[in-house]
Amino acid sequence: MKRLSIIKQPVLSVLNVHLVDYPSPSNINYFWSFGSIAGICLIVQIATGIFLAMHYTPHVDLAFLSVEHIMRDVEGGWFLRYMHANGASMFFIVVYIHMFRGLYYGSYASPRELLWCIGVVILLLMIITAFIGYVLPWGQMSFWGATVITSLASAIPVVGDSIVTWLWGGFSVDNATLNRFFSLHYLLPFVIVGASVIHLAALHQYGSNNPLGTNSTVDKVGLYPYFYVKDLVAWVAFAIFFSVFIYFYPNVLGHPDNYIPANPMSTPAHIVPEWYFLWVYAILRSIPNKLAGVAAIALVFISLLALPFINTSPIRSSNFRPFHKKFFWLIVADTLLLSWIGQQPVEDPYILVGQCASVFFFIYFLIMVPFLGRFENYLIHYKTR
Amino acid sequence: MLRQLLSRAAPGWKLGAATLAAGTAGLAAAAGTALADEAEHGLHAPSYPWPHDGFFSSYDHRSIRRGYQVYTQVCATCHSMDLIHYRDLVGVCYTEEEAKEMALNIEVTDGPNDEGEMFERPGKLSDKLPAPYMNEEHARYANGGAYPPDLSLITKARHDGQNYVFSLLLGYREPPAGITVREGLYYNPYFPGGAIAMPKMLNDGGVEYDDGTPATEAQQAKDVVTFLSWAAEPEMDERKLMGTKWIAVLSLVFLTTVYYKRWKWAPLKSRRVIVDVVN
Amino acid sequence: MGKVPIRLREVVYTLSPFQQSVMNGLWKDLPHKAAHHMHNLRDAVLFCVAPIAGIAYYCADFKEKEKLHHRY
Repeated sequence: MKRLSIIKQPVLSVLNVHLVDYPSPSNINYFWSFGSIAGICLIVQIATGIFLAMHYTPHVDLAFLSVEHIMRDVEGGWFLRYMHANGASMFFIVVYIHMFRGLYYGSYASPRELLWCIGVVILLLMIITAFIGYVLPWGQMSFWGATVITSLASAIPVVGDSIVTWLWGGFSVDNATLNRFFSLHYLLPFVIVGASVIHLAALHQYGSNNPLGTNSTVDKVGLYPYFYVKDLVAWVAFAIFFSVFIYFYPNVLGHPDNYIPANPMSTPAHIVPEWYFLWVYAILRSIPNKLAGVAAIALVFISLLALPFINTSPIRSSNFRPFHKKFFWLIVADTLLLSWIGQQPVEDPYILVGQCASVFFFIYFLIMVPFLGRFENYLIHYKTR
Repeated sequence: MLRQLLSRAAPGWKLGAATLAAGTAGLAAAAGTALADEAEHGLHAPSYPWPHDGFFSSYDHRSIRRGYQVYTQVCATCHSMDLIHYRDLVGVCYTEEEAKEMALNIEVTDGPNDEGEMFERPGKLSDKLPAPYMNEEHARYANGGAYPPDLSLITKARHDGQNYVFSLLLGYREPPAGITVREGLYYNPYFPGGAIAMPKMLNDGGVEYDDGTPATEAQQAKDVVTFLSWAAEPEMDERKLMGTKWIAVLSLVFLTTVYYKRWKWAPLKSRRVIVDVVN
Repeated sequence: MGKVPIRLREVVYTLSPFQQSVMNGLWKDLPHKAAHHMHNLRDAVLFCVAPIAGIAYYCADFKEKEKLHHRY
């Protein structure tokens, strides 16, 4: 095919190789669109965030008012803010589906270990960015969420309290905290951009996995036009889903307490993090000891990072792994359950359910992943022998 | 063997469908158990059919205007609305002339002037609605230690805000047998804890509407909640209209992209690949 | 022996653009497709929806019993 020579120019040729002519497996399904949708989410968050920052004031006395100023007085301000606030939720929905897709189809398996690990790092960066972003409107939930979560560092022996003071920039969550959170909230998205470029580079080393989990090089077609038109369908569907939230249910994913200005003198009845943190929060709360709870959260991310290295299955796709397929659905159920438990008060029966769900979470990642691979492998050879 | 594998490769969308179903089940369960501790969190308000609740419904602007009258004649003696200015009422429930006229009736401290002195002047469109107290301490002192919250965002700042405020305003009754309420507090099952410092404020005929609507207690509650909903989300009418247009257009774009995709993919989907050994 | 890679030839046969239908495949044999998808969803229902529904039911039941227990 004859191409315009402009594609052969420096820089443009790199873009052409990776974003236009890039060969992709012909059988990848719509779940492979969530990667590019996540990229769109990141761009949307950065774009709306830059414009919001033009009107926002990071000061304890003015932050809440400046957000309401954006909502009421800035032309199209409510649109920008609702898009940014709901965009964070969309980003997490998309990334969670993206990760579960990787889990189901074994996209993390060799040779794509690094790809998965960079993805986990991006998730961590996203969690930090979203958390400090939620503090910026300086509502009740912002303030108390920041207080509770930063206080977790005090569980660390010896240096814990010093770390908390260092994080706060003082002896309580105050103006210094808000200022540094704003600064970091502006910085970290660009770190995520960098990590995403590395994620993409790692992907293009071996190319995409595919729903069969077989050798992906068998039948490849160009990203343009085939996956451009396919992703377009997914992008527009996502835009409709996103729009329903922005225009019709803009506050349904938030907490009403965050429309009350932060007040250090009055603690809300229940301090609940944003919905996308609830599963981790439930694991944290399942353990009565603070330090052990923090260690459990660390273990969550260690398990995610270790996943490609402890996986023993030579087969990638769960379509051909009948036992893992069932456990995959159980871990999906487990994550949803944890998210539900995370918003319940700490009382019976939620404590027991939360503890069982937390234990299952680790059983899946640390025991079932290595075990099922061997077990299914054994069955295959048992049958053929 | 390979064909068998291929036919068993499930199309991806089922992942999503099942996740959605599971999520819905979880949500339904959450709704069931959220009602558990009513004494601590207050009785859960029933759901009322607000005329502006629908996808394509806008505010009842006559009701906003009446609600504003309820606010100024009843609520404003204790509650501020710091985020609402007279200019915000223009084109919503008052004309510019009416709003200017109302603003003229208040005294605003402005300044400093050329001599460095603060001075009093009549209100302008750009002024906030007047606050009843100078600061929180003043408000608490005047209300026996209770702080009447600012009402600008109240329907967004409470769980199920509109129904909650409506139920609360009409929820005053005698405490049931066995429950005593401390002096200066009033029994209201919708308030968390059941005892609220605000007395029952709405009474039949307690407000005079300028459009002649009979000012029953329930009418006042409905109007003031409509006004407060507007105050919390003044952009709602514009938002829903924009959303309707945008989603309608996107739906057409979606159908187009589906066709575009299938048109581009048709040759790929209908091809036959023969791989043969070269002898 | 056996180390020499087998030389393969790939031939792709395609239909004329006039013989291709763009949208028909989407709704052709829809009941069968729906049944097929339902069959594939079996594991998801059994191992994702059912546990959540079961545990949610258990929690609701627990709360209800607790309430009744406190009442008398």
